[in-house]
Formats: sequence, structure tokens, C-alpha cells
Amino acid sequence: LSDVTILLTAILSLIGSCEAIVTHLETVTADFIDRLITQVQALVDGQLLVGIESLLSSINKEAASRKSSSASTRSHGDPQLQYLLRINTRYTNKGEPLGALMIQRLLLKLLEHTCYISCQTTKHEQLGFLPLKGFKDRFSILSPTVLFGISELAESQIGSIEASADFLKFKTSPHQDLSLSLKATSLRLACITFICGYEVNINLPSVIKSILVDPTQMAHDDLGPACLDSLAAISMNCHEHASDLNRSLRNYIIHAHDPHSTNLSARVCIAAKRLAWCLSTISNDKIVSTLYSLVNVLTSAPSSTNERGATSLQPRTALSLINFDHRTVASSISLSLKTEDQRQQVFSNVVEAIAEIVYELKDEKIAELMISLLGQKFGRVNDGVDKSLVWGLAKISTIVKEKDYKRILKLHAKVRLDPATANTALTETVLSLFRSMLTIDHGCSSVHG
Amino acid sequence: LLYEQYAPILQEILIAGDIDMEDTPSRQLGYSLAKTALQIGSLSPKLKVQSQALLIDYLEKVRRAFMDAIAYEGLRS
Repeated sequence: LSDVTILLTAILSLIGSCEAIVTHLETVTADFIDRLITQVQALVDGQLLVGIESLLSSINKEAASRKSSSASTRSHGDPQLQYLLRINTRYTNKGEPLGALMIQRLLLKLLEHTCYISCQTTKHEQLGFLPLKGFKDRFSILSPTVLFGISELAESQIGSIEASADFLKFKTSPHQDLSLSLKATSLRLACITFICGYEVNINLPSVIKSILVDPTQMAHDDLGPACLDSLAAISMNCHEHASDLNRSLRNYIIHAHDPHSTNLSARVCIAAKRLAWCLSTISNDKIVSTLYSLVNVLTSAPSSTNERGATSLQPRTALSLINFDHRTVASSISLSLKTEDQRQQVFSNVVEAIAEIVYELKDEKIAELMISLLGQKFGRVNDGVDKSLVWGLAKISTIVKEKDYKRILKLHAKVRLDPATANTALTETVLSLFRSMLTIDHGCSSVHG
Repeated sequence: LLYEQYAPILQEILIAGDIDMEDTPSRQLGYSLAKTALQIGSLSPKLKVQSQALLIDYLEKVRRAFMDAIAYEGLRS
């Protein structure tokens, strides 16, 4: 067997076996994770990975020279090698080139899965990074040696990806998806050890904040949620980082934009849900002040361009209901937006996030307050906001009592009939909303009737 | 040769729908061997220890295969 045949066969075999272990491993013996860490450390050794990449690049160069000349190559006359090289090309075209990054990702995923299995308290519980409730206690079961080993591994992986960050900004790179996926796994592992008290040499909150402001990384299906989950986990478990990280999360929700992304709305909802978890570990006042500052973003449009004249809200009655001191309300967030599209994206994010937070908290008084605040925004900002408000209130309506549900319906009716807000597009939105509401098992049959 | 040798095992796995039929024999073999080891390990605590030790040994073999490939390339050049 030639060198490349040995290498590619071993990588393919590793892919298959790691997939099987992740799918079928249900319990682990006491020393399995210990020995696994030692093996993983040996397999992701820098020199070994450089050797693998250099061998693969030499064969790629040969393949390129074969195209340009009739020079003989290693694969000439070796059907097995030719077959493996074709497979290698197929994997590369799929965005999963067989090589160092693939090996790193496989092994770190395997380690992550083993970690979750080791810390599983009941057999039927969901297996993964979430839930964040009881997070520290759950992962503190791991031995100090294991936690130290994981922290070293995660740190080295994040460090190596950060070192090639410029190169990975290009979406055309076949390595981009692999490396961002590896970064997601490493981030979750680093977060586990960080919360369990094993400080890594990298500044994890800073790494998380740098991902948060990079739309390319946040748009990644694995890294985006991993970043939001890690942020929430640290905020909820390490109180010294809570206010800084919560502020970053709130800013992400407001400013999240990516014209090329199709999953931005889903990402904002994930972020809002995590913000709700983080705030609920602090206090009700904090929840309300954050929601209030988000609502006030909707009035941030310059009055010169806003014929409807946005006004600042003072919902004293509602605030007094939950014993909230309105003097502590956060100041409105300054927006420096360039285009109308960006402004509209901010408004859409904010309404979506408020609805998600209220839905997640399921607190009647907070829901009542937000219905009052959002209701006052109808017809005050622009048509786009009115449409977002309809959908936002619809989401909130699924958790409120009949009395508040009727209030929302009245608001919707007012929007449709009031000359200041009524327009065809909004009426269509409300009608489609009512149609979708009829499918919700709300338990308010008299209202539906 | 590998494919023919392990055809009966692979056929069983393919029927179960666990893996992609277009995948390489090496990947299919890696999957089936690891899955079989874990299934055997679920029979008793003693077998569990042995099967999980087998998986660790397997990772060591993969590492040696990588080292051999690199060493071979070094000698060749």
C-alpha cells in the first residue's frame, strides 16, 4: 500500500467509527474519557497534522501536474489509489476535505459527546450542552484531570483556528465550514471547563464577543448557536461576566444583520431566548429595564424623517403593577444606522426579540406590560414596524389570559380600522395572522368563537 | 478484496439503513466495527470495559497508520 492509500483509508475508517461511536455509545466506563483524551491529544498533535497536510498537498500537486503534462504519477497503475483520490475529490466538493481539519473535528465531536454522556444524570434526559439550569453542577462530575485535558485541547483548537481567521473569511474556502464547526465544538468544551473553574489562557468572554460581532461566523449553523449558548452559560454561572455579556447579547439582537443570511430571524429568536434565561437569573427589574430599552429602540427614528412622530413611553401604571422603579429604566440605545433597510432590520429584530423573551418568561405581568407598550407603538413608527407588531403580539397572545387576549384582538381591530394605520398590506397581515391563530390550541374558545 | 470479505456484515448494516450506500468500504467498515464493539459491550459490564478499551486501541492504530503514511512519504522523498 502506498503512503497516500494508507492515509486516506485511515481517515475514512476514522470517520465511520467516530460516527458509530457518537450514534451508539450510551454509557462510558470510568477511565474511558481519561484514555480518550490522551488519544485525542496524540491524534491532534500539531506535527502529525502538518505531516498529514503536507502529504495530501503533495498528492494534490501531482494531480495538478498530471493535468498539465503527461508525467507519470504515484496513482498511475494503482486502481485503489485512483479510487481513493476520486473519493477525496468528492469529499472536497462536498465541503469536507479529508485532512487535518476533518480529523480534528471528528475527534473533538467524539470527545464532546463522551463528555455529555459522562455527565448525564438520568438516562432519558436530553443529551447535549443544554439545559443551562444546573450546568455547573452537571459538568463538575468530570474529574480535574479530564477537565484540565479538555481545557487544553479546546484552547489549542480555538487558538489554531483564530490564527487562520483571515483565510477563513472567504466562503469559497472548502475549509471554512469544517473549521467553524470545529470552533463551535471547541467553544462549547472551553465553556464547560471555564465554568467549572479551569481558566484557559485565552480570554473566553472576549472570544465569544468577537464571534458575536462577526456576521460570517454567526451565520454558521453550528457556531452561531454555540456562541449564544456559551455566552448564556457563562452569564448565568459566572456573575462577574453577566452584565457585560448580557449587554453584548442585547446589542447583537438589535444590530444583527446579514443580507445574505436566510436564518437571521431564527438566530435572533435563539439569542432572545438566551437573553430571557440570563435576565431571569438576575431580577424582574432587570428583565423589565431591558425590555423597556428594547421598546425604546422603536422610537429611535429621527423625527425629521418620521411623519408619524415617535414618542417616548412612560407606562407608569403598568410598571407599578410589578413594583418596578421606572427611574431605573435603561436609557434608549443609540443607533447609528446608514440605510432605511438597516433601520427596518433593527426594528424587526427588536419586536421579534421582545415577543420571544415574553413568550419564554411566561410571566403574566410582564406580558401585560409589553402588550401595553407595544400596543402604543402601532402607527407611530412605520408600516414595517406595524406588521412586525402584529406578529409579535400574536406570539405574546399565545401565553396570556383571555382578558389580555381580547385586548390584543382589539388592538389588531383598531390597527385595521384606524385611518392612521390601516393599509392593505397590514390588513392582509392581520388576516393571515387570524388564520394562523385559529390553528393554535389556545384554550380561549369563547374568544376564538 | 475488503468489500468481498466483509460483504455479509456490510449487507446487514445497509439493510438496517445505518449508512450511505455510496460510501467507501473503509468508512462502512469503520462504522460497522465500532457499532458491533459497542453492541457487544452492552451485554455485560466486563464486555463493556473490554469493548471500550478496544475503541481506544483502535484510535491508537489509526494514529500509527497516520505516522506510517508520513514516514513512508518521508522515505520516498
